[in-house]
Amino acid sequence: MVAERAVSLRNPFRCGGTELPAPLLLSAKLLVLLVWRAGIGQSVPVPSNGHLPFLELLPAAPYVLALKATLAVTALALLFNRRPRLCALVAGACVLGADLSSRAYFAYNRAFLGCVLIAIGLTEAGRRPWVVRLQIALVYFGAGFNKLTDVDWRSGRFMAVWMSRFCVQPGYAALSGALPDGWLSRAMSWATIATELSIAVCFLVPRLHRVGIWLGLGLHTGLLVLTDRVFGVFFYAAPASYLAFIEWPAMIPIWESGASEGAKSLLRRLDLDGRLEWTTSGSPSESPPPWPFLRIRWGERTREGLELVRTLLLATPLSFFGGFAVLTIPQPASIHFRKWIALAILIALSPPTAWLARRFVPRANSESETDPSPA
Amino acid sequence: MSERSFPWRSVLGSAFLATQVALVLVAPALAPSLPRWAPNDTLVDYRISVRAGSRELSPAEVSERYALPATGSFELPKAALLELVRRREEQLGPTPARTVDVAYSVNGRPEVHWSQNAP
Repeated sequence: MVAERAVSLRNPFRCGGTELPAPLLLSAKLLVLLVWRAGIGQSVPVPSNGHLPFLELLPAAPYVLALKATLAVTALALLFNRRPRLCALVAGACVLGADLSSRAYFAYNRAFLGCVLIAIGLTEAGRRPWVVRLQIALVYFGAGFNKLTDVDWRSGRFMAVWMSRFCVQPGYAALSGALPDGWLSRAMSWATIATELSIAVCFLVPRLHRVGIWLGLGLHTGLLVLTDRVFGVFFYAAPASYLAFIEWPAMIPIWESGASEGAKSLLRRLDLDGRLEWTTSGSPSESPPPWPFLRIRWGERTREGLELVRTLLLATPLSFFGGFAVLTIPQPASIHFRKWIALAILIALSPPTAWLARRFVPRANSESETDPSPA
Repeated sequence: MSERSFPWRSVLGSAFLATQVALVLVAPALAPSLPRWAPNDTLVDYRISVRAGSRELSPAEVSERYALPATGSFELPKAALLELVRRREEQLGPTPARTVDVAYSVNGRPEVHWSQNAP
């Protein structure tokens, strides 16, 4: 039994059963995949003219080799569920150390990735991951605070220059031209400042975590759609880090009434961590659930129909690995599809769409309680 | 010693976060070239030229010298760019005599020149 568990834990798509909560381990795995996908391990610079001058005292070639090897080993170990906290801490220190070792190489998006991994590694076993949550809130506070103290942000000057350089949506220029001079860039500046500071506040208040998550996803997807830029690794790292604010139930009781064998088999295959508890008695409702003819108990709530599909998608690590793969596929120069896929995913899973689905898709059981927030 | 007896992760985490809070609040006024969670908040268009002795370095040589393109855009505060150049020149020592000129424009404002003579 122990050997069987050890073997199953070596599956890199499994996120349960370790010293880290499943969503936090999933976050760490997505971040180290990003390290690999963005080639951060390969691009480690020789320390020179950096923020950590003591690194320049080390012999350059052995230092770079050791850093690359450590990063590769800890990333692999983390993916395969071996000492994930320690590996996240060491991998994060490698990424942050490399970023700070050269002023020319330094980029905030890599620093963010490194800091979040370090903060995941500093999570105490059995406690809420407050270090990583504060880390993410601090980044948004710092970004909003810096903009608020910058005259070019308050006047909209930066936004006007930056958008004229990077915006790929012709609608922006048309709208900007139709409005009084500088109005749109000033409005967008203040909207950005307000959003970043709001995200920071939401991430500090537990009952607003989900609002913060959707605000953050909206902000980053909006920037991607407007500019077609992913800001190094930031577009991927920020949403991956939001998993630190998510808590999944240890077990999810599930009832079926007429579901196809294919659907049940698929769910069993996707449930790598064995959290679905197939039950025949004690259904929260007598009436049969609507398509896909399944019902789950999620904490104190019951979910069925499209809401069940959405909840399970947002609570299955494989969905996130799949989303990561789709969004990081290299896009050809002529077809820039990434931003539209990201926008489609955001819209499909967002609370307004869930609300519309509840409002307009007929339900078999109107008494079942619902929760507008995602998993 | 068991992990429960001393929460070293929490202590390290607190120190890690406190350092960043200090940077966010203090760096803009005291050390603007230090990182302070201000990603992509400034757009600096720059052009670096270096005259060493009687010779003007080529763009490739300038790029190799600073690990930056000789002409380009920098999405960090101008202080970070100038500090990078200044420290690199400091590292290279006093010889040969040279003049470094950085022409830069912040957020589309008129171009400004920053020069340094060494030694």
